[in-house]
Amino acid sequence: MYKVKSIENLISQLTKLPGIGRKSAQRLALFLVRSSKEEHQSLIQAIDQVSKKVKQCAICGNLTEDNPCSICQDEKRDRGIICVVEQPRDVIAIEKMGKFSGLYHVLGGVISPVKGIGPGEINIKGLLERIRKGKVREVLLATDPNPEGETTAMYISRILSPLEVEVTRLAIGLPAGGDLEFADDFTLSQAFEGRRKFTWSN
Amino acid sequence: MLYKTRAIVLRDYELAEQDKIIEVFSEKYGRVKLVAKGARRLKSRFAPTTQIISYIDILAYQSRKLDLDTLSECQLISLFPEIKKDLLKMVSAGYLAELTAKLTPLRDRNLAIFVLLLKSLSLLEKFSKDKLITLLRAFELKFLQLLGYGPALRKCLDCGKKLEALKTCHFSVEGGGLLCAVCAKDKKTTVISKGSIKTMLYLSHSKLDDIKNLWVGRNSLRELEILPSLYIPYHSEQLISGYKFLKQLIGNGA
Repeated sequence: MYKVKSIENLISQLTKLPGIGRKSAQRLALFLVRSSKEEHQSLIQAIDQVSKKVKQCAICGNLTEDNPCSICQDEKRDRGIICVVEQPRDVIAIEKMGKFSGLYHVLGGVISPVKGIGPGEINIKGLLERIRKGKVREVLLATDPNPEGETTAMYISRILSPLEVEVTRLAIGLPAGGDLEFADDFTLSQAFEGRRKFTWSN
Repeated sequence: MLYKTRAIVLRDYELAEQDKIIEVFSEKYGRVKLVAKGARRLKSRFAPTTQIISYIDILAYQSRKLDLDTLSECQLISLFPEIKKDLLKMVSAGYLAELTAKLTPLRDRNLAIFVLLLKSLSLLEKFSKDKLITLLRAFELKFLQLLGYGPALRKCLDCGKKLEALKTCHFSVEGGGLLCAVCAKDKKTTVISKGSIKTMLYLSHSKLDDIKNLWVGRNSLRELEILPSLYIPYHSEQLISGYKFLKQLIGNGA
């Protein structure tokens, strides 16, 4: 079978990327072969910069180039509230919304008994240290609304119970734009439990 | 081929941007892996029904070449809400799912295991925390028996001396059961009380429902820990990581 060693090597490196199978990797590799030297250099440089500059924030665990990150350094943010998320991508989603002005804590994963991920493998210790230092009045648990996210939220709320801090959880219920008739029983019951006073304005 | 079956979701993995692979234990086809397209989107019809530890009714296409089928329709039968609300119960259910996922072969129909898992999960919902450990030990023993790994407990593995005639009982993890004091000489064994051996026998053969009327002493519960800590990892050659966290939670009095 005809093979070009360097292209084969590039394909095998690309297949390591999430969601990239051999066929997609082959397509990307052949695209790169046809690209100009300048484009190669800028891609190599971008990867090099990420590997050299990006690190985890020593306070919140988010990805950053400065340590501590710009959110942890920002004096204008409310230091009394910490939003606990699973991954740095969740910080991006919440920041995009633009309505949260507190700080974050990135766990770097979730407790998953089925996959063998225990509390020791995620950044809960750092959260406890931050709360023990004082000033935090509320911890907002924003893990995903699935069994693993719920297990993590339950565990954190249990270990925070002796500390004087209010623990809140993101609301679970019907998604905006969805049809009520297609909602499952659990989501619907959560939506009923979490109903709130409806106000209107002229 | 299109097939329809009831199933319990054991675990899930992310796939590409918005899809996921779910691993289920089904009534008609045993353990099966399925692609749930778009299941990670918030508004996906599969999102609420393909969560781990859920009892579902599925319609799927069987792949001809791969061990990966495609989920076509999915109806929720039960989400086991009482399990999901309780940390210890959720971790226990996760442990049962991990055992089932790691120890059963793919596409091997086993109705008895399906019924055992379903029954254990529905009892886990109802049981109070003090019965939970006994339920887990009963599941382990019945599950191992169904897979052919169950410990032999009625007589000495080597000389055949009956349990009733034994003064001290030795449990051999490697041998897979009971040994008398003479046969246990120079072998790696653990001394276990006769009461604990009888408890294991009772748990292996009684109905799961009967556990609610059974009282197992602390000493026996401690001795029965040999099953998840040594026996299962040795015979399955698998590391059951959920047990470590479960033990930590039970130790902390969760």
